[in-house]
Amino acid sequence: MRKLYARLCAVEGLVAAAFLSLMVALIFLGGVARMLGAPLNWTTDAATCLFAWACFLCADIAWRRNSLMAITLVVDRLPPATRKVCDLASHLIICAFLLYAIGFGTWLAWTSRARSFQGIPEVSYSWVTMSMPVGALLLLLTTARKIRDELRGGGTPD
Amino acid sequence: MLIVLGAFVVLLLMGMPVAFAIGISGALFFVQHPELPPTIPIQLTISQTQNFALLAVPLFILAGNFMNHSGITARLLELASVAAGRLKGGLAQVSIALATMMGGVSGSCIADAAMQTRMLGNEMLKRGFSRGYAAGVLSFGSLMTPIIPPGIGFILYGTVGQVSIGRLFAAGFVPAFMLWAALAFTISVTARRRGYAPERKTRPTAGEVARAIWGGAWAILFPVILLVGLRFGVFTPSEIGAFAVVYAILVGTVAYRKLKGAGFREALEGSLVDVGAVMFLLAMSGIFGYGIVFERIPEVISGAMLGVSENPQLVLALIVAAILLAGCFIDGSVLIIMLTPIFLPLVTTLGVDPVHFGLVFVVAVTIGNFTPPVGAAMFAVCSILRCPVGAYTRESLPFLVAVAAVTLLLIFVPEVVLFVPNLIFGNP
Repeated sequence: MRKLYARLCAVEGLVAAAFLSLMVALIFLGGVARMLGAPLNWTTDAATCLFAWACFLCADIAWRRNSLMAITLVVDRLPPATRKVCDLASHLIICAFLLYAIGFGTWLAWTSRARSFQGIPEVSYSWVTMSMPVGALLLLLTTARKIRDELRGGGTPD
Repeated sequence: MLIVLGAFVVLLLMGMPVAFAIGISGALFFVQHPELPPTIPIQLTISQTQNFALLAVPLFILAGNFMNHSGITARLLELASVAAGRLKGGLAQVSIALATMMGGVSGSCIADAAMQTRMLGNEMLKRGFSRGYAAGVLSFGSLMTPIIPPGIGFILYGTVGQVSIGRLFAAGFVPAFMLWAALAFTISVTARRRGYAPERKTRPTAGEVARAIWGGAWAILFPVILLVGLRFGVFTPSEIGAFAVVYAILVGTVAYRKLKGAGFREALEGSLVDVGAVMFLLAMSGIFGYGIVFERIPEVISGAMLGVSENPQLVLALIVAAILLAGCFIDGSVLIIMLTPIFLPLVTTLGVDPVHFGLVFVVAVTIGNFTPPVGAAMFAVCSILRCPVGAYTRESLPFLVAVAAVTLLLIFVPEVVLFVPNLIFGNP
């Protein structure tokens, strides 16, 4: 199970890095093509689609490494037991929100499958919409692991 | 909306990451309004990531991280030491000169402060600088980084407020040099009292100067190329971002040959985390913004502010004071994303130029990174130098006074800010 999760994280990192690099390449290509007088419209569209995925994948990576900005000024001064309750509560609230995002995100992707992306008839807008529920699912896994660590370890895993 | 704001504050104080707190409290607005479809928050989040202008944000983050691994920093340090080494306050002067030059390659003040502290922090302590003073210099020095183009803050402000990013970039030069001058003056005054000696005893030779300038040329040229590209409409800001990444990789691999496999990976991995932190926040803020517009919060706040005064400069000063206060607790990019839609319409009705306001806004927000109790750059510097926040606060006070004075000047003399953008882009 742990191995599987580690592999998932590795794949997530690779995909995110690949998407970011592809975005650079596409936009650069688009810029050069336009400068040469032969604009390529699809590069921008492809890059914004990758952008949505990169955002949510990177968000999960940052969340796993505790790199999302937070104000810990108050909780740092709490006694450890109270702090634990606070962290647990905030993580449970996050879980509830992510479940909502997964549910309605999937539903939105399903209902918007007929809508085409940026007017390209063969590509469904659902490809973009799916980035949110998938990202939320990954974030949910990360949050669940944080909750597990809190229940087990006692302290906060920083 | 009061419930939303209350929930936001409570969640923040619970230690929840700002991105989640903003999204979850924003979603409560839709719970209060069952007539709105529950899929709107999802759509709002996704539509934030479909904004072509915001693509520039991850690209400039990537470019900055590649630049930092390209070996350019060592060259710029040489240049800074030639340029400022003979001034009183030695390494402190070199440090802020370096920060100003780094401003042209990196767009984030926190990353820059951390990097410089790793490079110069221990050296400064060895030469007898006190811990608090060194931390103050290293932290406040990074104020110039987001103000000299490219800067993430300007891209966020320009995108959220629909202001020309090229003009904002151009507006940064003069204020950044004024801030540099103010900090340099403060250092030389305080260094004299504390007896901190200059770094170099002798005047650098012409050969040394030429070599140092040549070594740092790739970095110094970069903001100029950026502006030229934007001015002639050759590139959009996002394309400039992609160009910046390619430029950084080329400088690292071809010009300096320092960017190798491991550094490449490190830069990419670091960027993933940085992009995640900023972009997730941006995406989530889309949910929150809906309620703000729906309930006409900007109008309400404008009304209250205009009740106090209708003098544009005074209102601007009030806003800056509010931002500085908020900046003590909330991170800069959050403030830009949340407050631009509220304050920008207010100041434009008073006739303040949006570029002028943007510059003052970004300066004020960046100062928030240096002020306790919550300051990201302060945390980074103090934790690397193992400096107590109390000592930092006490000894960085002169620097705070200096940058506050420059900020006031920028508020009351808009020409200082608008001169360069109007020169390059023409009068609006």
